[in-house]
Amino acid sequence: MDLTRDTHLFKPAVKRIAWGSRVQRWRRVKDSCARMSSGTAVLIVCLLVGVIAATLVIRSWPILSAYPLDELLTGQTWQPLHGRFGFAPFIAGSIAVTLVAMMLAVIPAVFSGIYLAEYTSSRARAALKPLIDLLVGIPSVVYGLWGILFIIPLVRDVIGPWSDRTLGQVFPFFARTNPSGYGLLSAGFVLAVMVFPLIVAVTEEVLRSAPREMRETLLALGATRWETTQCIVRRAGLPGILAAIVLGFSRAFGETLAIMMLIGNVPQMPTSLFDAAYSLPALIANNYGEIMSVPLYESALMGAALALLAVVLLFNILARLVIVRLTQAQAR
Amino acid sequence: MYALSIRQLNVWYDKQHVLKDITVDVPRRQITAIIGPSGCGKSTLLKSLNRLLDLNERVRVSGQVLFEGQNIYDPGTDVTDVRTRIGLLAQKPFPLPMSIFDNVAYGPRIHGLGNGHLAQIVTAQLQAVGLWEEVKDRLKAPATGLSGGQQQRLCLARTLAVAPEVLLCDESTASLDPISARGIEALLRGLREKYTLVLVTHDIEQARRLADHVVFMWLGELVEHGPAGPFFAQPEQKLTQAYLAREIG
Amino acid sequence: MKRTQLRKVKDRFFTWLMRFFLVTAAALLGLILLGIAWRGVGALSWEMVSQSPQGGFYLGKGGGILNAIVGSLYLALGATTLASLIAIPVVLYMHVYARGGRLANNVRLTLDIMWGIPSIVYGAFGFSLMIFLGLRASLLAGIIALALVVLPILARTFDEIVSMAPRHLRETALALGTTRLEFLGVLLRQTAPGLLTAILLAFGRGIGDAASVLFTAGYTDNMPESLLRPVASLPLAVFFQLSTPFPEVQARAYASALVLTILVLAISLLAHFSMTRLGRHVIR
Repeated sequence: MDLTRDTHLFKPAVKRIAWGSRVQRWRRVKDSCARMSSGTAVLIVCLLVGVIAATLVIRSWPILSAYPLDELLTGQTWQPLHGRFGFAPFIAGSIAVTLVAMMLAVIPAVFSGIYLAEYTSSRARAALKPLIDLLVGIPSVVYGLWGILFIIPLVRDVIGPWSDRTLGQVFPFFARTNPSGYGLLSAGFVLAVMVFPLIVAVTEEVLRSAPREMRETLLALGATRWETTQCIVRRAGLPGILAAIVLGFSRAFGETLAIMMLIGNVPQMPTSLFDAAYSLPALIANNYGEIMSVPLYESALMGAALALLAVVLLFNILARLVIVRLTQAQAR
Repeated sequence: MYALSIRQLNVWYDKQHVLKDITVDVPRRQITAIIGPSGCGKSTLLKSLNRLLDLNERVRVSGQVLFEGQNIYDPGTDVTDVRTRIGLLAQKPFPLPMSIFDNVAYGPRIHGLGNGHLAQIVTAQLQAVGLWEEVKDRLKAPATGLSGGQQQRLCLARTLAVAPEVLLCDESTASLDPISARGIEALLRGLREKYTLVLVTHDIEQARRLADHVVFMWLGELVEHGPAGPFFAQPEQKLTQAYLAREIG
Repeated sequence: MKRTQLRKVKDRFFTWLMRFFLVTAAALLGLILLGIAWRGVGALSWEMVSQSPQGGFYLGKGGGILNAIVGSLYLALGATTLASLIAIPVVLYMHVYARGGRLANNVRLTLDIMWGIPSIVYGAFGFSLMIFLGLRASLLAGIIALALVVLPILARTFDEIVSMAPRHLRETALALGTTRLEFLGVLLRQTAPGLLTAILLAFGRGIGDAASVLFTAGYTDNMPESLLRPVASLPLAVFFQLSTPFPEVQARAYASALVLTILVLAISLLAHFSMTRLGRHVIR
């Protein structure tokens, strides 16, 4: 039966298609316009990191060409007025404070994340998750303020003297070199509290996404809860947890205001947990006001930003390689 | 004698009453099949037997499950021990993300069984499920590379490696192709010698082929149970007759 | 027997260890909020939030931080708007035109890397850009730098939300003969509440960030007047007040921090509720 021929019902539809061809074309034009404009946005984002890196290289070129790289990286004196730009104290300070923070934060945070994912009821989790997200969003200046309020006195009056009396007698690393309380430990401690919710949140998310059958299988084999958790973490969660730690590291390494408020801002090579130090971000933030007056100063600060960017990028890329490796190893 | 005795077992999922006053015994060293349409609570009943229901905090349980005379829902029960002695073969094969060898060895390893002769245990179990010849050259390969039927046999070997007394099978052939399914069935029939088996199935023919004892469930209630012969020949309840004749379900 | 015992002890030990860590951390974090609230409430007054600083504000005389509150809102609003203009098309492109392809994954990777770049680096870049364009520290420069900070946050959060959209949505829409652009409209409607959440999250992060606006937005005691003039921001207000040697002014720093915290928490809560409460047209 041929319905298309002389059925009056069909006529309006024929008309609509004829009328529609212009609409069709217009729809297609709109579609490709949208495609191109959103594609441009994608291009911008993809180029952005490169543009930022290139800009920082160009801006810091004067100082990079004026001094050999190893002198800049290993030089220990920072006297811009005398033309001496040694970045070593700042790099060491940044690394030291980040290490202290990660030492304090990683294990408790990963364990807490595991606990939230594997041991709590879904109702408790539903209440805790927004709370953790809330904590991730608290501005760093607030953490810094809290550090001054609680941690500085704690380190100055309790932890410092105690450590000096006990461990400090044997290891100079624990000797109280600075009675003010402002230093690596205080800054590192507050930094640890800052990155804690971040690592917890990511760890929890990663472990939650492990298949339910895995948990059931392991328990049905008579594994204890901890053994089940261990196996899930090792076999399914490790790359994700590593990613969480990298995220925490990046955050800690680049943190500016909170560290600036607590680390003491003394450009020296730290040798003790209680030493005052100086970090790269604090260097940039503290000196932007004087940029114009001293030759090469601006270039030096841009160099510091470049160093910061380089470390974070390098660490991210390395971590990503390790994660890919781990994921492949696990599939085996 | 009975391996498991279920006494007035009630299970709620939130406010929904999914198992209503179940009382039934599971005979030792026989195959007990739990049949019924989907959603009738058969899987819930099965998982209540080794306390895997505990994983879901919205589930509430009352009543008793006596395993060798001990109520496994007693507060003092060692759940890990219960689960070791009552193994589970899941619906879909789920190899752990490790090698074939490690999959079977995982259980014995955590229980500290067979230190030193772990390889022997693994070999024996893989032979028992007829997988040895197929995988003996690639024991270190990832278990996920096996076919569905092979994976399910691996899971069976893994469960048996911890030497359970009871084996629970939750529609363990449902996700397999017919040939692999028959292979698993043959294995289960052979296991009756040494183990008490409880299997859930929605396939009446499978229950006919395997079961010594049948439990028929309908909407969370136990309708009828008894030895397989009389159960299939002359069911007492109208509901059972209708179900077996495939008029309902 | 002994082995079973040991396994059980281990199980219990680690359970309690995890609980200990969680409770300690929760207590510390609770202490932050309580500490700021406790010190801040004393100095908080209507004058604080309704006036700009008057002469001698940093010596303990009258005035408030309204300039910083408004400045921060302007900065965050501008930055979020600017970032949305880039982030939303990028995410939609990833899901509509380049779905599942390598391009989408590379963009995702780039955004993740951008998320990890410290905001002070964006500040330094913004500063260079500012000089290049011949600008001085201004609201506009601050907005640009801050937009770079919140862009990856906004884009990745929105990306996650779009990824959760039901898979059959695409087939259903395209089977009706829609162009990809029209499908994009459907997708946007499905994910609108999530988009709002992402925007609010980015907004909250923008208000709290200080390092990027430190030398791009500058600081002023006046209310924000123009895109090309410096503007105050709350985190810097806290910081500068704390740097003075006068206890009265330092107390104001705590009050300012309290205002900042309340603002950020309110936005965060709003973001949470927008996700759970909104969305009549959302398929779940």
